[in-house]
Amino acid sequence: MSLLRPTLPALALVVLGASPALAAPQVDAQTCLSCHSVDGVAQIDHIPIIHGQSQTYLRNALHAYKSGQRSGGTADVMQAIAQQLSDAEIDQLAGFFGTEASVVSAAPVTHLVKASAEGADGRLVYLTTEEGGARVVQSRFNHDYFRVAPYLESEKFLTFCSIASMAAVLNSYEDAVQRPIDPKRYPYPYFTQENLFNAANQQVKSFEGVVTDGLTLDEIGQYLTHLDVQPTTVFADENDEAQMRSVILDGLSDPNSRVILNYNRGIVGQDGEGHVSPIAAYHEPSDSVLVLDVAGYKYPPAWIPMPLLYKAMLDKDSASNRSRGLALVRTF
Amino acid sequence: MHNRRQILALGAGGAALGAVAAVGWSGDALAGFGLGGPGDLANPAEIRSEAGVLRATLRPTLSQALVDDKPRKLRRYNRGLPGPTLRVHPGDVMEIRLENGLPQNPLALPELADSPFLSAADLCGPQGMGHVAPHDLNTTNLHFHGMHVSPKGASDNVFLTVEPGGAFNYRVQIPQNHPVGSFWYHPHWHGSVAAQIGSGMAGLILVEPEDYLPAGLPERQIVIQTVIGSDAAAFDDPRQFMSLGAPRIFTLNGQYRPTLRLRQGERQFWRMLLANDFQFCPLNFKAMGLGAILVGRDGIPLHEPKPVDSLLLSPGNRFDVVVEGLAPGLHDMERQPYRHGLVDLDARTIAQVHVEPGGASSGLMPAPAATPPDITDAEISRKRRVVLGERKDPRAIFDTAFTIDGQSYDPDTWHLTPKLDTAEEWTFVNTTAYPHPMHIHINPFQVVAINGKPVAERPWHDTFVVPAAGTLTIRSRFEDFDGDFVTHCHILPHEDAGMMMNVRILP
Repeated sequence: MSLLRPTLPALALVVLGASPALAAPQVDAQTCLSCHSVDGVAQIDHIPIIHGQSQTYLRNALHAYKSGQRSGGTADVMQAIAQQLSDAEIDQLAGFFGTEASVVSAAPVTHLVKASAEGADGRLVYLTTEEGGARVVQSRFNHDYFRVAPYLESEKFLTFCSIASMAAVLNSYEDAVQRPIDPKRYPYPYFTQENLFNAANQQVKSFEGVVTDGLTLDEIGQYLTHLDVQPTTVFADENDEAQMRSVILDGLSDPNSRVILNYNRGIVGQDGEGHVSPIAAYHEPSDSVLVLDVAGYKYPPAWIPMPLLYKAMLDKDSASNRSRGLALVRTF
Repeated sequence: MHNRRQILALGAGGAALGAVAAVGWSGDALAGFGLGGPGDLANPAEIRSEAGVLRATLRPTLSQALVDDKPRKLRRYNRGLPGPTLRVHPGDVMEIRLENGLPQNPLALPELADSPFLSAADLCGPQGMGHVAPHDLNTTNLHFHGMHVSPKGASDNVFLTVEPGGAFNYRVQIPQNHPVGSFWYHPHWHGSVAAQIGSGMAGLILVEPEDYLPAGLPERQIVIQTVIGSDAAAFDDPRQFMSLGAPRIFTLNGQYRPTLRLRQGERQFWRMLLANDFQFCPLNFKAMGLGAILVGRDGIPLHEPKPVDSLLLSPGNRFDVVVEGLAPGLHDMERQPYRHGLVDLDARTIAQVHVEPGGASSGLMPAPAATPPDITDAEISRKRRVVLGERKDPRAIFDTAFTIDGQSYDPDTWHLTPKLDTAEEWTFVNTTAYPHPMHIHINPFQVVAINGKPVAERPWHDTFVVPAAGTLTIRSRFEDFDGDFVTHCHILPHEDAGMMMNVRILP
C-alpha cells in the first residue's frame, strides 16, 4: 500500500473465528493492524495480539484508554487513538477483532481435515497424495499448474481468497502484463495482495471493504479490468455443467488464459463456505479439476470431481444474490 | 583485504607518512600522524573563522559524482560529498553566502503529468500536493542543525526560500555561551529536504574554543551519508527517494567502505555525524577493536565523559567520541542490525578500522566543556502531548501522509507556543508502527522517559527516536531566542510527507 509504511501486516490464522458478515468499522482497521498484527503475531515488543481476544475485554480496554483510566507510558499511544473513537466505533472494532471462538480451538479442526489423505468425504483427492501427484502428470491440461503454482501465496486475510487468486494468476503472466513495483520488492515488478488495490479498484471496493466482505464474482471481474487483463465472468446458473467444463478447458488450453474459480467449498466437503482459487489442471479419466487453494494453511490443492464442483458453483452468493462460477482471464 | 595503496602506506611507516602531502588533513596537530594519508580516510575540506568571523560560500549544484565507482547525479555543496566543515568559536559570526547553483525547477503543468517525454523530476512541481509530497526539488535554504542561535531574519530561519539562480547571505551570531561540540548545516526547504539532504547536501559545524583540542590528539571527522544506489538519478524520482525500501550506499566523508587507521593505544577524537534522510546506524566500538569514551551528544558535552561500547546514530545525530585502538588487526565497522518498527535493517559493513600494532596511549582528552544544568521538575511550566500519526492522502507519494497532532504540516498554524525563558515537558506519542527520530530546532532537550520509563541519565539531544507505537518524554528550556521554528521527524521522507509542526516561542 505504501512505501513509507514499511509493510501492510498480513493476517492469517488468527481471524479464523471472525465472521465476514460483520459490518466494517468506520475507523480504519488498518491503523490497528499496522501495529497489532503481522501474520497474526505482533512484531513490536510491547504490542499485544488483539485478534481473537474477547470482545468484552477489547471494548472495556478501549473505553479505559478513551477515558484516560489507562494512561502513561505506551498506554498513551492507545489513549491518543481511542480518544478519536465514538462508543459505536469502539463496539464495531471490538466486534471486528474480537471473537468468541478462540483460535486455539478452531485451528486443530481444520488441520485434522487437511491431514486426511482423501479429504473430508473421500471424494476429493489432494495434490499431496500419490494419486493427486500422478493426476498432474497424466493430465493433458496441466500447463497452468506449472505457470500459476510457483506464484501461489496464501491469502493474507480470511476474506482475501479472491485477492490472492488474482495476484497469483497475474504474476503467472510475468512480463506479459504490466506489473506494479512493490516497495518491498523494489525494483522487481510483482503483484502483491496490497498493490492490487489500485485507485480504480478501491473505487469498486475499498481495502477495508474486502477485508470485511471479500469480493463477489462480478467484483472480481471489475477488479481484473483495472489490472491490464481482459476478464470474462461465467455464472454457473446461466450455463450447464458441460458448458462450464468447456470454459475451464478453453482456459487451460490457451497459454494466454487463466481460470479463477468461485465456489462454495462447504458443498465439496471442506470446512468453510464461499471461496475463490485458481484452477490449475483438468484430469480427463477422473473428470476432476485441480483447484490451487489459496488458503494453504487449511488445505493443500485438491482435485475436485467436475459434477461436484458444478454444484459448488451453482451456490448462490448472498452478497451478490447470484450464483458463483468462473472468471476467465486473458491478456490483451 | 589490503589494497595496494594501503600496503604501500604500511610499508612506508609513520615517518614517511608524515612527509606525504597533507591532502585533506584538517589541522596542524595531525602532521605527526598518518591520519588522512594514503590508505586512510581523509577529513572533509575545512573553512575556519578568522578574527571572530567565518566567511564561506556554499554553492549547491546538481552534478555527477562517483560513489562506489558508479557515477550518480547528486545535489552537493561546492561539489563535495559532504560539504566543507565549518570550524568556529563561541561568540563568532558565521557569514555564509548560499548561492543556489541548482537547475531551474521544471514548470509543473498538471496536464503534462502523463506525458511520456518528461521524467518524474520534470513533474515535481507544486501540483496541489500541499505539504505532503516532495516538490520543487531545486529550491533550497539553510538550517544550522542543533545550534542555539536566533531563528529569525538571516539566521537559522528555515522559512526562507532561495530559488535556483538566487543567493542569500546568512549571518548567524553564535552566542558566547554556545555549547561546545559538533553541529551541522543542511537545507531545510519543506518539499525538497529529503531529495537534497539524501543526495549529500550536508556538512559539519564544529563549535569550540581555541584551546579545545590538545596537541597530540588527532581529530577525525566522520560524516556518514546514505545515498540511494538503485539508479543514477534516484534523487529526482520521489517514488525512489521517498521509498523506505530503496537500496542505500553508506559513505564516510564521501568514500565507499574506506579504511580508518590508528595505532594500538593511540587515541583519536572522532566527530561522528549521521547526515542523512533515512537509515539508522547503530555502531559497536568493541567490535571495531576500539575502546570509546563518549564526550558529547548532539553538540552538548556530557557532565563526565563516559566509556561506551555502542551508540545508536539516528538520522541527524552527532556523537563526539575519543576512541583508542585496543585490538590490533583489521576490523569491520558494521552498521549493526536495527529493528525499524516492523522492518529489519540489515547488518552492513560500512568501513574498516585498521588498528596497527606498536603505538602508545596518549591519555589525551579534549578540554572539559560546560553542560547545561538539568531541567528540574520545578522549572516545568507546562506539559504537552504531541501525537505522531499517519493518514491516507491521495496527494502524497504512495498515498501516505504523516501527521503531528492529527494534521500534516500547515505553515499557518501554531499549536506549540511556549513562552521565552520557560521550560516545558513534551511527550511525543507515536501511533504508527515505525520509529520517528524527532528533531526540535534552536533549543536542545533532555530525554527524561522512554515508553513511560524514566531515563536516569537524562541525556541531552536535539534529535531522538520515538519508539514504534511508543512514547518519548523530553524537557526543553526555551532560552535567549523568541521566534518561529519547527519540530519534525528526521526521517526526511516523513518530513516531506507532512510530519512537521511549527513552534513559536512567545517573547
